[in-house]
Amino acid sequence: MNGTDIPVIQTAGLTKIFKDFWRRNRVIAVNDLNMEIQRGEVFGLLGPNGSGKSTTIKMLLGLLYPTRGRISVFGKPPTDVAVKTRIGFLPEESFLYRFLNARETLDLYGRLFQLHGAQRADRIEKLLKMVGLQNEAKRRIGEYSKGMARRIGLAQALLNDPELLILDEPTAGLDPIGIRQIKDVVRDLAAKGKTILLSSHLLADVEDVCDHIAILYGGRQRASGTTSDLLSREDRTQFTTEQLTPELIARVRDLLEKNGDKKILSVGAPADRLETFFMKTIEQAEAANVRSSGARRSGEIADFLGTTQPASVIDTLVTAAHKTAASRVVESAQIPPEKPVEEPTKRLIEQLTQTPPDDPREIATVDDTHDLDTPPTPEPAAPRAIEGDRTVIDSLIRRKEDTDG
Amino acid sequence: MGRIWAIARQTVAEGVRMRIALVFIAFILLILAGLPFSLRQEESVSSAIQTFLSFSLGGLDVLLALLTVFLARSLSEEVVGGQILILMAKPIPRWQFVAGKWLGIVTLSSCLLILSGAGIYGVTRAMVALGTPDALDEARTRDEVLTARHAVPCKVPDFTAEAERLFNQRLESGGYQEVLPRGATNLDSATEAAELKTFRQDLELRWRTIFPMEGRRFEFENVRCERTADRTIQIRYKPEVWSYPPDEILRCELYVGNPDRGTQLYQIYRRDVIGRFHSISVPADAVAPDRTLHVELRNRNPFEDEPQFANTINFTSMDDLEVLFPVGSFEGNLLRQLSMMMCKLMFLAAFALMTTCVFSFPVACLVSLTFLVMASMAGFLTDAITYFDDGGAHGLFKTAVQFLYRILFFLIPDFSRYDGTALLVNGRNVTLMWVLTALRDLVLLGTTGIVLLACVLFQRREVAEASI
Repeated sequence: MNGTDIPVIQTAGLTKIFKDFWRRNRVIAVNDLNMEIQRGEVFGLLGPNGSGKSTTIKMLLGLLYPTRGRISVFGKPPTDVAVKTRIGFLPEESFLYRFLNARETLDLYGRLFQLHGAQRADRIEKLLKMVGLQNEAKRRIGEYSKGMARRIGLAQALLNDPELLILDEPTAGLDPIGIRQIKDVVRDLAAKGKTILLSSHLLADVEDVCDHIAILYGGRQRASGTTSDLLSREDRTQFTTEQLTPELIARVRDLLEKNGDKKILSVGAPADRLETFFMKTIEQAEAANVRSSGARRSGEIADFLGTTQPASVIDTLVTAAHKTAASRVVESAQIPPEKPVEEPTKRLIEQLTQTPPDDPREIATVDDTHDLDTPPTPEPAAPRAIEGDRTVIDSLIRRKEDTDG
Repeated sequence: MGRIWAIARQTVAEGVRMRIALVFIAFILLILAGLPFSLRQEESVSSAIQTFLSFSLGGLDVLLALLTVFLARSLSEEVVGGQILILMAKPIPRWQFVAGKWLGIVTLSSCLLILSGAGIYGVTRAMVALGTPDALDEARTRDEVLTARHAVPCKVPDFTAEAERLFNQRLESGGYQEVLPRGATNLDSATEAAELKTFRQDLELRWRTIFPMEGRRFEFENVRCERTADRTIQIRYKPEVWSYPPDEILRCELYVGNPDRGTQLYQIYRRDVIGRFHSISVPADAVAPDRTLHVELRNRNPFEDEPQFANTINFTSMDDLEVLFPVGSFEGNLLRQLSMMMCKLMFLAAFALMTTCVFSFPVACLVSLTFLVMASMAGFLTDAITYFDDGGAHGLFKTAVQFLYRILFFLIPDFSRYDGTALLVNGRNVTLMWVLTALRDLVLLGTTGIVLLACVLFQRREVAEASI
């Protein structure tokens, strides 16, 4: 087994029991948790308050010791100092020193990572820009709003360009800009091959970014699997088209009833998501140079992130292939080939798409629930989406996927 | 080292920005600025300086100790405040974190100690410069306060031979018939040793007693000073009398020097309050080339027109009679005293840090302050426990308490053993050896041991609090 085969995080029978003053068992916070997170996964740890998410994360970081069971992070115990050089952690609250300013805060943590002077300064500047606080860097953290402090929390978690990013309730206390930014960071880092463990009870956040999910309740794992497996509804089909006239809607309804005895359950004009609308408004305000002492809309993701990680040739090619495939999916709005489509539905789709392909109104997506400004989670590479030496890349992908097994 | 220093910097920044150090500096400034003015009623500049040094150094010692305990609280606050979660998720071994905290506390305390020390020195010099121009007072300030003098006790003659002669004389004269076993001619060895000791003590007491119109020559060895007339040495003594005269004044004559050994002889007539320490300055050429000094005290009133009393003088111990001569400067003495204070602060910082590795802030603070009080009072408490008497009713209780305190004071150092303030104030040398002893006991052994223990305790501790 080589280094890349080892799960980034692995727990076996992990149990944490909090005891009282007399050493009697008080609360079973985590109970017999078996979990495995592979390299490159965006793993969502879900559960209501008190379900054991934060306790699990604290054990993964060596901040709490398990009562029973085993933990390995990058194949080593979580208390191993070397392991921590590869981890970035954003706790559920911004536990920062109130008397330090943003730059000093990042400088402190940069020193703990033993980043050298120039490199440390460079990363700090880039991260401040990335989280939109470069103009407020000299203010003490104690004067920051909760959301601004949270942004510095995110910056400190990325300071070491971590291979594993652990985010505990990352969107708590953030404004929509911050929430959007966290999601963007997660997606960008995932695209760069980072492993991300995200704990939240805000389901929409997790659904937007995670490709794997585990749900905890009462300290036990109740469900786990890929997001698509757990959330797909086989008994529904969804179309998104350009605006249809009432007559056309009536024709579709008739067609469905005649051909497949299927009923349209609802028809309506989709609204913009509030997040999208909000972001547009802020963009306009910033474009008009409206003064603000708060956080600015963030800059691009810091360019050092993901560049210091030594990736194998296969990893690089696979990532490139996945990205290309993903972009092709967006561009051509392909129907994912692996989705099983029932025969009546298939016929219906054929009838609906018989109009010439140059008519944009007839281009439809099926089961694509992503918002337009939200890039979809990269799907496995579709063969025709890959250009260049397809045979070589395909074989590499297969070999890599077989190895990851 | 980089990580340790990063934590130390953060600790210093916290101390400064949370205004903990600022409050301390305000207190010190208050003492430094206010104390000299409040001492203007002192009869002499030398007394005012002595009082100032005593209060300022004592105050500094207490304030810095409190500051150190308070700075150490940051670790337990980081646990409660959650900052520790981010810190311990970073690649820093826990021992380095504890060491960094200790270094930060000690760095800040050292800076404040140095600044305060410089302030005390500056104010002292200003008091000298602005004092009234009284030649005697000026000389006293220079020779007895702002100096570092070594003290030599009087050489006690060996009374062993005389004690044995008296013992044998009594034995032969049948003085021990009542205690001798039947048929025996000698006492058992323990009784004999006790008897000999009693004889020696009696002889020494007799030697320390000077009857009216008698004189006694006291000899001091190793008086290693510059033997010139322009230098002075001091004879310090506390006379007692068997029966106090109505005016409580002792009148006597002193002869310092030994012409037989080629020195000057100085005759001094004295009127001294009985039962108090007095200091006489004499030229250093009274010391013989072989570094000995002879001081003869004659129990005779040289002032013929003053009332005459038949006093019997005695010195209750040989500490009541000593010779002091300069061996160093006030600056060096102050530096050594501050170094010794620093050793105590290092030890206290380690202890306070260890408590915060285990307890929450209020408990850790309370434990550290209790420790500080006990360490400061260790000498007094040890004596009190040694002579503790419960009236004989609860022998077991007494034994238990004494046992408990013995263990406690084995672990808690006696801070008074490392306090040279009283010596500094009296212009006596705070020796380098003393500082080195403090360094060995409090820093190399004590601090290292406690920091190691703190590291072990912190390593075992779960830094995240139970929250579910």
